[in-house]
Amino acid sequence: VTTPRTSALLDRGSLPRSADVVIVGAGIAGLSLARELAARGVRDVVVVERGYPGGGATGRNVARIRAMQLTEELTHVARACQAKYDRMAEELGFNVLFYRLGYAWVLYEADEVERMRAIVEMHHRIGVASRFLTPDETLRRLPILRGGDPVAGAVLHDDAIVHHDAVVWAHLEHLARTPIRVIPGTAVLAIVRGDRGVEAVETDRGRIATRAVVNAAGGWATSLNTLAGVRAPNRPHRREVLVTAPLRRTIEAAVTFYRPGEGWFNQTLRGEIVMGVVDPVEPAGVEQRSSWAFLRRTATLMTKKAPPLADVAVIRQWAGMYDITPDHQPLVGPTRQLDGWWHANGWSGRGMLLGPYLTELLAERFTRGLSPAHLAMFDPDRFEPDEPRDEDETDYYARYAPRSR
Amino acid sequence: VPARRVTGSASDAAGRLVTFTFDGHEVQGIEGEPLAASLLAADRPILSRSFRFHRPRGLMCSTGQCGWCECEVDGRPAVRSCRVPVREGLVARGEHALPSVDRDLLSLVGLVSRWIPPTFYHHRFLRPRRMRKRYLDVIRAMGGRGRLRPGPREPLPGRPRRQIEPDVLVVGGGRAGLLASLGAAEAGARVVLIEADRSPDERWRLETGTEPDPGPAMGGLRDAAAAAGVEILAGVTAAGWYDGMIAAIGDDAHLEIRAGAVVAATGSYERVPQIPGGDRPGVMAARTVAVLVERHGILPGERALLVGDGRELERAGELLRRAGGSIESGPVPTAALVSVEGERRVTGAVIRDDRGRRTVAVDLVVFADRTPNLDLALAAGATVARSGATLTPVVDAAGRTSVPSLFVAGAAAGRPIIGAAEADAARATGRAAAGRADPVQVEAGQVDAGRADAGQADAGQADAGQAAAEAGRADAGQADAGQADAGQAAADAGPADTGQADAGQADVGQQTGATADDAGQEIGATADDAGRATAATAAGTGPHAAAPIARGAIVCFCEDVRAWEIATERAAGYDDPELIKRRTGALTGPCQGKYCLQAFSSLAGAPPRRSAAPRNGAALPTGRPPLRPIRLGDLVAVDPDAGGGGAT
Repeated sequence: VTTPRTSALLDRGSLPRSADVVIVGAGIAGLSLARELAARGVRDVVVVERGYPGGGATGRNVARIRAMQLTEELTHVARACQAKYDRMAEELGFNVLFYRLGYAWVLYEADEVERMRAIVEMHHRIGVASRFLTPDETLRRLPILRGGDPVAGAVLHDDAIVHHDAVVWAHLEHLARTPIRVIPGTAVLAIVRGDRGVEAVETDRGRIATRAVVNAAGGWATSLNTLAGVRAPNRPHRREVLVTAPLRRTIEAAVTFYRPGEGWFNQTLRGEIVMGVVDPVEPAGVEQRSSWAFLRRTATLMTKKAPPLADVAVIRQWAGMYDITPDHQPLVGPTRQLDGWWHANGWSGRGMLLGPYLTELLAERFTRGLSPAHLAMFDPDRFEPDEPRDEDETDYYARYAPRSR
Repeated sequence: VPARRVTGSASDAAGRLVTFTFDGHEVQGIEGEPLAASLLAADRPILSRSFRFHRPRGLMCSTGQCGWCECEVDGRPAVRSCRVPVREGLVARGEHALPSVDRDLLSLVGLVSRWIPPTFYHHRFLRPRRMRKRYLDVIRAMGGRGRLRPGPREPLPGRPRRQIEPDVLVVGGGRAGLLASLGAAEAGARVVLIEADRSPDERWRLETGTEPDPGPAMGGLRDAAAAAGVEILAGVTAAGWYDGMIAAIGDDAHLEIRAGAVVAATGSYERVPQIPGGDRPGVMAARTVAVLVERHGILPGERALLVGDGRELERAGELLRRAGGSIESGPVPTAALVSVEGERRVTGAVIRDDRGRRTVAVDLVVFADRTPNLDLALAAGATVARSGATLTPVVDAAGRTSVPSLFVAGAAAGRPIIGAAEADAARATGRAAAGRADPVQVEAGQVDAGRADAGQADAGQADAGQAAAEAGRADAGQADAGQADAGQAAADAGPADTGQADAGQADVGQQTGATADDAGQEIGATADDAGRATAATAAGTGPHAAAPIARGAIVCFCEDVRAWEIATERAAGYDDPELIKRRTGALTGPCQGKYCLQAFSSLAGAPPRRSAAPRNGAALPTGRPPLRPIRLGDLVAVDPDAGGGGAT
């Protein structure tokens, strides 16, 4: 690091009285937006964080950076997102361990195969080289599935993983070379509104006058919206993870399956296996505690799919939150409900993937007033207030790949 | 000099000789003895290689906790070989080594280890992209430990859920646990005691042998507890504290135990000498030496250095001498041990005393320093505090923690059962636990109550025990009877009370920070407010001499994190324990922080005033379950929940 620091890595000094922009939340969204604003000459920015940087979902996910998606629009966006990660090491001077591990949707039922064939055709049409694997090909690529529930096939793409904490550190160390301050241990208590919109952020350490607040609070975005009197339909839902002791290179793709029930596993570069089986009836609410039921549920289903996993020991479990919107797409941009209130939330489990690229677009929108095309689908005002969500939350395809599209 | 079997010992005659293989070599052992012991006796002291620097590691704790003896056994990875009974035809392999753990070429990385901080990887091969991928392929090839054998497995039976709701659950069937269960049963409670050991008789016998008799022998205690109605479940391992519910794994069921009160009688962990070479094969816990010599007739070394003090150490010394070994030096105070020499096993040690520094030629370093097992206390969010350099749960005389439903007894509370006073205190803890009202719904609020309790420090309240008792009172479920009982228990505990005052009071609320002393050899922890430097010392659960943590010492053995690395991260601005943990990897390895959290807490210093780290008084990140590594196969359920529920 040759450039001298112009701000502390973490600013534990007194709070500024005012700022052009206050970003709430030092997760992937807040930190990458700060970086993009700095790059565009917006320097009077503070990022306030209730705990420590990356302490929410950013430090609790498994950082799969997948370009292939179930819909065409999202695949276009995700491809740009992945490319941004591929450049991140050079751009930030910090190796975030972007690694093309491969990614496989493993299918177990005939109707999944039918559905996925159409999606693979879509991928090919727009130039994404996903591949449909027969059951035999699937077991060759993923021998760990041998002896498990019979597979019906898989869709494979050369997708990547990154080191989620490294992404946080890369941003912190980059921001320390700018005037932008990252202020941990500071909780927002109130948003002061006036006739012209946002006027100040009231924290437990004092008030910061500002005309622009960005809600990048992840699982706490709903609470923050409430403080501002802004209505938005996203709600946090817990997602749990377990990690095993490290093993030698064994699993040659990040695996996700949706039937019966949604689950996933992959091996990190260090060799640990991370995995989880989603609780389909997880209630909404701020919740980061781990559950015993998760261990039983995950072990039971995983050992059916991948029998050798029975021999591996879980050494740790944790939980984070998906901040889920009715259409499972984030809210990125200003809202008509309150001048000066900007959304960068509702990531619905895709914050790591989408955060850096979409906040780049958001910074464009912020500094030049233009709305890049890719941002349109994430307009925060696209919902009716309090729009009810899909009834069928339990089926992945119903949520992410509606037939009507 | 290799370890050898002691001829004429009891085990010599008892066991049948069996042949097994390790890394393809035929090895003989005595049927039923631990695999790690057989290997040691066969002059194979190196059982594993450490994750980062491929340091040789051997048998250390012998209780299945430290993980230094992990091998592949019969195709299963990462099996703790100190817990595997050896048998004819067993196939074991060393892991994570090229070509073998005995001679591992990858250990050459140790030569440059001083230039490889944990975040090394993030500052190399940023470009070109193609190289980056190759580089990460190499990292990936170097990572990992064990092999996962592919292919189908026998169908797993799965375990049903068994829910039980005793008045009192005692975790741990050692002396403190038995005494506590007896106390609780005598007070009329329905008591369940779980003990991970399948055959605790063995352990009881050993404990009886290594400590002066504080009353009835272990067998007698067990019988008394059983007679008083305690349900003793052996071979049941506590898996986690899930908001008051203790999940545990038995042979044929997953137990979900919702007790009115939980007594953690989980003992202590070894404090490995925090000096260069402290992790060499041949540095052994006194208890391990006792097990090897007395139970298995194996003399682990000819020339021993004894470090520390206490009855366990004396006992290990006696056994070594009786078996024909010699005590070359010691006992020396823990602080007098400067380093351990030897590349692949202990060949000597440097000690410092009145006469200056000198090297003693030894092949065995025996230490007895121990720290309380904080696993349950931290999982529950109970307040812990530093007494000397040792974090201990803050408890009142009756063993009550800041979490109303959690009590701690024995060594886990910093009060190993040495004499009648401690024995009485453990019993009183059982009575106090019984005095808690009927099984209550354990709500999230209780965790908050525990947290709020940390406020006692701010209030400058001198008597931490009292504060803990108040936290208990604040709990709605807490009946008056409980209070009366607690008072009674305190009165009963009598003499133990005095000792308690130290643990509770000492440094509660003291803001400590760690600074790196770049010039010096040691890292001290400084008190922020007083600005007065005090060494990060290593007092054990007993009256041990304080020992500073050497700068180059490995403090986290799973990830080979050295003391200076923790200080460096802090100095670089990653000044929150949560961040230091992630930057260094300390606390995240297979031992789950059991062997590094004490040192981590000293070195990481107090969290900054506004940290989000739990206010447990320990400068430790949030504890994450499970309490021990559990194989997924043992977690398979016949009736898994669709819903997580879990928070209850």
